[in-house]
Amino acid sequence: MKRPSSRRALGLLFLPVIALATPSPSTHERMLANGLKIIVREDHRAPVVAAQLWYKVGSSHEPPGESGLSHALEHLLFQGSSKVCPGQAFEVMERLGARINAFTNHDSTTYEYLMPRHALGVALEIMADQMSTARLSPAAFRREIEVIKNERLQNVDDTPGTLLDEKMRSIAFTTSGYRTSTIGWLHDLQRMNALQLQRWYARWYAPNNATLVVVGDVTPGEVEALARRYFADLPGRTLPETKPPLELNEPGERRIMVQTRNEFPSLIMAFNVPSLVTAADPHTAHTLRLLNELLGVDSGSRIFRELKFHEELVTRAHSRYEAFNRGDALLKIVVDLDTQKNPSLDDLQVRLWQLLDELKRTPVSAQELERARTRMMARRVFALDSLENQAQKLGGLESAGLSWTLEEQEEAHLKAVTPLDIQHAAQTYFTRERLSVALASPGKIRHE
Amino acid sequence: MNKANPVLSRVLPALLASLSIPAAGSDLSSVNPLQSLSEVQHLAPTPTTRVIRGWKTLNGTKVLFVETHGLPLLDVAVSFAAGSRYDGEQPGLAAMALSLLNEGSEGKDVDTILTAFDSLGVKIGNGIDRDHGFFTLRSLSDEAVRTPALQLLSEVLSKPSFTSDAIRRVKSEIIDRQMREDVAFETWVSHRFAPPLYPRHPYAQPLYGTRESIGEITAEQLRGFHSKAYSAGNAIILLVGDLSREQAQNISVKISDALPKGPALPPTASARREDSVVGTLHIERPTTLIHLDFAQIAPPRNHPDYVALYVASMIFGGGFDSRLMKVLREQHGVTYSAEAQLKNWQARGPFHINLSTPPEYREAVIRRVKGMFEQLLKDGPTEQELQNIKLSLRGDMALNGASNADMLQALLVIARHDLPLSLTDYAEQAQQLTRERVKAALNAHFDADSWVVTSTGPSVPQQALPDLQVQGPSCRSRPLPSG
Repeated sequence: MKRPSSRRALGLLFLPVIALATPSPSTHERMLANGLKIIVREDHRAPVVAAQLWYKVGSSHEPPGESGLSHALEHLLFQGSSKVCPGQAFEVMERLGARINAFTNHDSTTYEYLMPRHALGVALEIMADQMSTARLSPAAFRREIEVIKNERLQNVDDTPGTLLDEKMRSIAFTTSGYRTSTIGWLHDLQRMNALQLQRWYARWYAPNNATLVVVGDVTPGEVEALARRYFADLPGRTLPETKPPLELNEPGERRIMVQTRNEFPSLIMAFNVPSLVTAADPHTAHTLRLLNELLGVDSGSRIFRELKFHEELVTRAHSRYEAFNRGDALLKIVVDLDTQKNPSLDDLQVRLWQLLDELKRTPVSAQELERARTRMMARRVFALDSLENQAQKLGGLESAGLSWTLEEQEEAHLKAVTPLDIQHAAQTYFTRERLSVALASPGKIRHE
Repeated sequence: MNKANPVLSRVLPALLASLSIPAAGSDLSSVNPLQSLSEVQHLAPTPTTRVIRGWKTLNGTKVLFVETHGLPLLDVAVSFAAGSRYDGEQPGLAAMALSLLNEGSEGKDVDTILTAFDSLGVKIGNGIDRDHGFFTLRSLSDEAVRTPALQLLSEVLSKPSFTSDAIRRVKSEIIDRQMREDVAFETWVSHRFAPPLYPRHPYAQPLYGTRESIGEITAEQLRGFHSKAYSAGNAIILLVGDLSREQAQNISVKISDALPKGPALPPTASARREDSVVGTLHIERPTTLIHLDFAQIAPPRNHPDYVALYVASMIFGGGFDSRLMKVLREQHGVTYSAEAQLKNWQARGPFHINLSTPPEYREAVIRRVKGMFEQLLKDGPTEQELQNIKLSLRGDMALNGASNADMLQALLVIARHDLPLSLTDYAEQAQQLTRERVKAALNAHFDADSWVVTSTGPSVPQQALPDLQVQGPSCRSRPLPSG
């Protein structure tokens, strides 16, 4: 085959293909009388099912002084309920060939199972039992809180990148619960007790605050029958009123300087921006998604090309936009400075601002925008390979207060974004008034 | 063979609680039965029916392929026996050679290549370890996308540019990585234990060399390494996706034809257990927790005892239900995660235990872990433990065929170690194991007092382990009411 010789040739060759290729899986929605929402996506490639139960509660719901409650509750949910002995859920499910996991973030708490299809009923029965009868005993709490403190020390305090991100969020969000540490500030973990967890559980763990997502070798009828059997008798409850976390549009420039245990400098620049939930026009959020992609996602992005490949100022670089938050969001740029070229933190910020200003000054070319869009659309197809990823996408949208059906409209939304939209978004959002900078410089205590 | 817990690789998302502690209060001594369990526990998972096909190209490249339909995807890996153990007298040579492939090929600079992959929406990855250098590619399977993507991949692999600028850049990049690796706290398979574990083997050399060795590497050495180690005979190609067998064969031939001609590199000698310097090495670091690595050299992946040892490693430290987690996390509450893994390095990897714990428990934890392993050698696994792992591995037989990405990883292991062409072979072998067989395998290959231990973190006065075991009667499920 003759080698395609120019960028344009490849681009033109390619464009129609993705549109043809994007499969649209069959997805169904049900609601039980008690308010439990059920989303089922059929994927019959293998006799395997992913099931995830999403609760709409996370660290952004936690009041000051009680950080880490949602995450600690997630741990304690496995310490016994009416049909499951402490820890037994793992043994039962592993013997059935399943893998269990759970995670907590700012907006939600998720319990996830990946299993041979015949084990689905057991997973749902355990989930339903834990939703309604968790013991949350003080004795189990006393042990588990020690585990959680160790988790914090290992995954945050001894992990410089995560520690810097936690500190950045604490200044970037000036008014909302998004500033709260998800795993919990150490001083809050030290004074937490089982009673707090019992109250938190009573407040948020109800069928009408949850979404059950099942993806795999099942039919909607099968899932609905099983879900009715185990969840239908659980009563819905009056839930606390929640409001999307909102931020000041232009809080003013903020800066935090951290001496981490890291021996290498790194930097985060974060801008306060709306999410898909809070943007006045959803088009703004889709524009920010593409802007983020152009700027710092993968090796084709501007930061990567310019600062890593051309100028060798950074070794790792990426940007991230939290489009699917239930409240206002950040678009952040994270870089590790190259130890050999060793630029100063000041010089690097100047250079990053030049890149951002360039996006404000000149509209991106149609080709560059198209490449970014192509990457995003290809990733959408790639994500269909994993049952867990599919379920996470659907559950994440629902937990943010959005509809899973958005997932099916993404392509059209992304296609509507123009180079002028990108320029306008850069001008609006890449401003000093929206900026937080977190700098990590090598700590005082140096090894050797 | 990846039963590694996905939890442990996530960043912040939290891990679950633990297992089988006796519950507090007599009212918890029994729980109601799970209705659904009695309905399904006699059922076996349906094993995957995916078929692995294998062939060799005329140039000597081994190829494995799994045909999948339902998604328009193609996953490709091309792996070379070109890891750091082939560095010879120039530590860092293999890592530099791999990185140079990222620097553009003849006639195309790095921008052009990135733009081309980007325009196709193709995702490219690569990596280096002690045994291999490899590239992966994920693409839509449509011919108009995959054909130019694979053409580009072939060029990247076969025609790296060895310009002085590219070499200078790669040297800088590798030295940066070497420095970071040197101080990274939570490198799970840390290179810190390698020198005492492998004092007479290339595995002891740093993956990214040293500042001095990198500085001395020449263009000629890199060219020489590439033409030998990135040859068709030294390569394996793995394909998973929406292709016919004929299409897969054509693709494999095109990639193989593009590579430099040449045979597989001769295997280097395997590491020997008796060379390891047994003992504890402490490295002072200003971290909050202390990180502990325990290692001793294990047999290779294709050894007949490997599956028995794998099962033993799962029982000892393979998840929430393992002995390490039950003791260190549930009984003492002194760790968030502790795991044991059998590493399938080509020239004999380690049996490796790693965990983080508060520094005041360093000595107590080292004693406890050693004692627990001694107990396992003495008694072997319990019947219940073995039964649980067998059931869990039957689940793997179904789960292993669930995603193309997982199958690609499985093919890499099968091809690298010349294993039977089956996604379920190891799990089937495990079903035949007995307690005696596992115990005998453990005692044939490991000793209670042969650990190479490294601890990294601050030194503080030592304390005994706290006992946080929740007191009370054991919790059991009541039987289902009859009838």
